[in-house]
Amino acid sequence: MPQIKLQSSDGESFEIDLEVARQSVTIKTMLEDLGWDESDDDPVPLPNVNAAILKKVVQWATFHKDDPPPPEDDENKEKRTDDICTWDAEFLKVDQGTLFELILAANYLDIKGLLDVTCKTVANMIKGKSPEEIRKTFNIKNDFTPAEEEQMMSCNCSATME
Amino acid sequence: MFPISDLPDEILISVLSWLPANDIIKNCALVNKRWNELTKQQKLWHDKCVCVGFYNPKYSSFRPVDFKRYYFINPYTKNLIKNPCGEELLKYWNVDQNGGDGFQYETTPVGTNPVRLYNEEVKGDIGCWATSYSWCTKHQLIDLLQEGCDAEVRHTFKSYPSGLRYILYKHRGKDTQFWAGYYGAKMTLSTLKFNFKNI
Repeated sequence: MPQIKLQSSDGESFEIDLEVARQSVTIKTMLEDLGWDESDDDPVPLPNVNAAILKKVVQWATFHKDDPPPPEDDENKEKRTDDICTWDAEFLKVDQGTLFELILAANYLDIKGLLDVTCKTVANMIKGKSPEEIRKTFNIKNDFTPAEEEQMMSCNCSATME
Repeated sequence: MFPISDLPDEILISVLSWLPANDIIKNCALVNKRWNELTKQQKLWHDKCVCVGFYNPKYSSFRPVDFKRYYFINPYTKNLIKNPCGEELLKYWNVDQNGGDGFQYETTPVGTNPVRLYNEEVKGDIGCWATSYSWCTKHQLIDLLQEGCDAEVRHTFKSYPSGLRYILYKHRGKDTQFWAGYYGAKMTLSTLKFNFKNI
């Protein structure tokens, strides 16, 4: 199995299977653009991902390397957030900061599976919560004036779903 | 620690797009000013419309002007005929001719099989309109603009000109035997829907 070296923003190198790395569309495209071949020993620099997060991403991608490719046309499917597999749920039992950094990394590296599951996890932390509970969960400051808040509450009542 | 506020708008919108519309408009919109702005973004409602199948850029030659409004009104997947089966009697219908004994609503269609035997999408029992021994005609005018079809429809519907604004739906029936009562043609489940898959 050919190996490839990835280098995190803080200079740490990771040697991983090429197949694992290619789950990242960003890396895949980069390798194609660079005309990378197995004899290449230079690490691929990933200036937007630090070692701690890259380690997690590699761990995720290694576990999911044999997953079928995501369907190209997944439109027309009601989005579900309750279908996170047990392994992913365990894997994502991390502090919020790490979870958000994983989202950023998945977005930058263009790994759809990881991006979806991390976004779903955050969505589940929001679902069914009141505005105040959401603020508490994420430590967000309420910057509405009481007057603005009251006005929004009143127009929101009429904005019910049909 | 990396706070949620450090996530860029596009990522927060991706997160929000996984939530039910109710959570978005009732709770997320009230969190703070930034979240309020995000819940109004076209991108968010575009994505939601796509994932529930209200909008598919591949099949649709139109593009709604306001995806949020479109998500809630959704004129393109609902039946545009109001009171299609007659439970509300003649509400929304304009009667042109009420010949013989006139239109009669039948909770259970008389002298014919239940509607569900003719249409497998129908669950349970639905009523119908019966006509009489002289022409019974009624119509409904559908104003596409009022129904929320404010998108620019570029496609020419089969044998319809582009820029279509109104649709007149009309049906009529009578019995050929001239019997008093309601033995004329029966009608129910009038349906007028957009079907983008055939475009």
